[in-house]
Amino acid sequence: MTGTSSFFPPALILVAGAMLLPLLMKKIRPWIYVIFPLLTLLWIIWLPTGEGAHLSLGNFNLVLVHKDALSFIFGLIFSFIALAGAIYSFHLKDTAHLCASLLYAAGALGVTFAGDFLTLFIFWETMAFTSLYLIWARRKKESYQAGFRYLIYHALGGGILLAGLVLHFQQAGSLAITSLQTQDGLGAWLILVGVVINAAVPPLHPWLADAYPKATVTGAVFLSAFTTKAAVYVLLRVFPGWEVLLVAGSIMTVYGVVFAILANDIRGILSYHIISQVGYMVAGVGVGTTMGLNGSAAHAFSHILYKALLFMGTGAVLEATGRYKLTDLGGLSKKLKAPLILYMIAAFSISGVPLFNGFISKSMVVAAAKEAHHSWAMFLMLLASVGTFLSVGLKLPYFTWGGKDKGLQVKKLPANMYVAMSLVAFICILHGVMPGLLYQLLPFPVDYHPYSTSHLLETIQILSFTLVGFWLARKKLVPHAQIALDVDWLYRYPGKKAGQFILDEAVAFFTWTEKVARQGVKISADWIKNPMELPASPKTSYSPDRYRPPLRRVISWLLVVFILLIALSLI
Amino acid sequence: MMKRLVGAVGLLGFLTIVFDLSSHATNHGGWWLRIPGFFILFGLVGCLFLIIGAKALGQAGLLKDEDYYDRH
Repeated sequence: MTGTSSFFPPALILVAGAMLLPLLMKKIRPWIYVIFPLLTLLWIIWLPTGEGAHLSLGNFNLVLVHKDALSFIFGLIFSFIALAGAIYSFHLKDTAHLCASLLYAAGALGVTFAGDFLTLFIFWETMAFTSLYLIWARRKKESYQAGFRYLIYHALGGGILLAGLVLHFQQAGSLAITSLQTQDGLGAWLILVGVVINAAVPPLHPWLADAYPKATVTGAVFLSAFTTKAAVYVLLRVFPGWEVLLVAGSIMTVYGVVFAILANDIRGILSYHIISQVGYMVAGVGVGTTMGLNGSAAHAFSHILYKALLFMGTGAVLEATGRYKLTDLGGLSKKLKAPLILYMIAAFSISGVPLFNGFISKSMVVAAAKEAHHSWAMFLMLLASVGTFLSVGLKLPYFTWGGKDKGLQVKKLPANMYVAMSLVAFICILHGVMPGLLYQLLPFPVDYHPYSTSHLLETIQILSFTLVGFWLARKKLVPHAQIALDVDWLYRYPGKKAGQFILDEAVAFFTWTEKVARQGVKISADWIKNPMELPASPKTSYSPDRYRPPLRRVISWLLVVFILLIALSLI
Repeated sequence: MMKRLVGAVGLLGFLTIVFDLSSHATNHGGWWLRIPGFFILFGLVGCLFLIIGAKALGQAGLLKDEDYYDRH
């Protein structure tokens, strides 16, 4: 590797941390687990702009570090949330879980700073396999099953991405990461499909809502941050201005909120809201203007913070009570007051309440769609923000912390969980109050003022009457112990049945073949058991004694011959 | 308490129409901005539409028992 002294890849710091952890004593392991993401964060801030860490692999020249404004803002938030996630999971004893978390963050950072498509692909796959452990580590039957589906989905997505990259390489003759155009052929479209699978764009999204709610409490915090946002980063870098993304993203914002209304699992609700929120980012990429791209990057930054905090808050409920369904929860406002306050900061952020970070970033994408005369997209996104406040800001806390007291026993939470939640909540408010802190990090100069009178009025009107609507229809929102079928039904029901049918038929065919073969062997064996009786069907088995001339006859003949010889000799 | 909070917030939202009316002449950029209190209606109708729409989808066959995939 050359040029690494000032361009040491940030991802490799976390890889080194993950390799070191199992070798350390139990007492210092959690501290080292936190220090490595902190070092990575500081290194990313220090890292100079430009390219470095070249690595020759066969005929390919890989570029492990490419830092510009776009990779910096994503690198910054990925490393920060890895740090916050590490603090949140400081108390964990499962070393493999700690290592998987660091490697997963390394995968996201590797993608972010990759200067070529091959490096990007290697880290892309690293994310898929390391994140799987965060689902399986919950060690429940449904987690194993969802993990397998997750693995198959991502292996398929990775395969499509690789096929696209090969075709692109054949056409372009270079692996350099550049923005692609719709007319760039099949390779570009396959890369797009591979990427939007990770961005959870419907109908390629069900892996997310299936697997994330079944992950570990701390694993879900990491999962909520990396995979989808790394995909948004690649979309921003490679597919800016692809109008298909505006259509898909706008639909996606509403799709997620509709399914969230039907969900009963608290982390299931949040998972569908990842799909909805990523929709804003995808739509921003599709708009393709500097405002749209800035809005997409800004919203990814804000989203990673408040979504991690939402998963931390609901994770605290799960950790403390062991319950995760709205139908099993209720009346926790006094028992889990601090998690409620911290959760509500995140809920206000995602809902775009003024003074919270969602307000200053989500509105950039909406304004970009409006500016570019895509009013339909703007209205879909505004409708989604109604649904977001309804589910995440009202329904979930109302039925979890409010509602009927179910008399749940509450376990004391580790202090590190509160520290992590407070840290993230602080940034959510800081950026909401001082938007310039986030805007100065964006890839293009920002000419947007979120606290305009018209934007404030619009937001207050929408949110206040969403609250009124919720209150009027709250009885309709009473949760039921049910699940909502999504697109994954296609492979979990008819697909499974088809698979079973094919399997059953294959098993039946082989059983029949075995039976026929056995019969054939039996008939043949019976038929040739006594060749002496052929061509008639043999009644007895062949026995050499039966067909050997009897001994007495031989002796008699010998005796006769002997007597005759004696008689003849006497004559 | 919750009832009062909803009433207060609703009243606050409703009062913002005054600002809509005062800024009526200066609004550019969309037909909806010329309707005072448009986003009040949007918030309320949007909220009820999403709840009723989602529930209708659920009743149309999307909602199943929790052990649906175990049984099938």
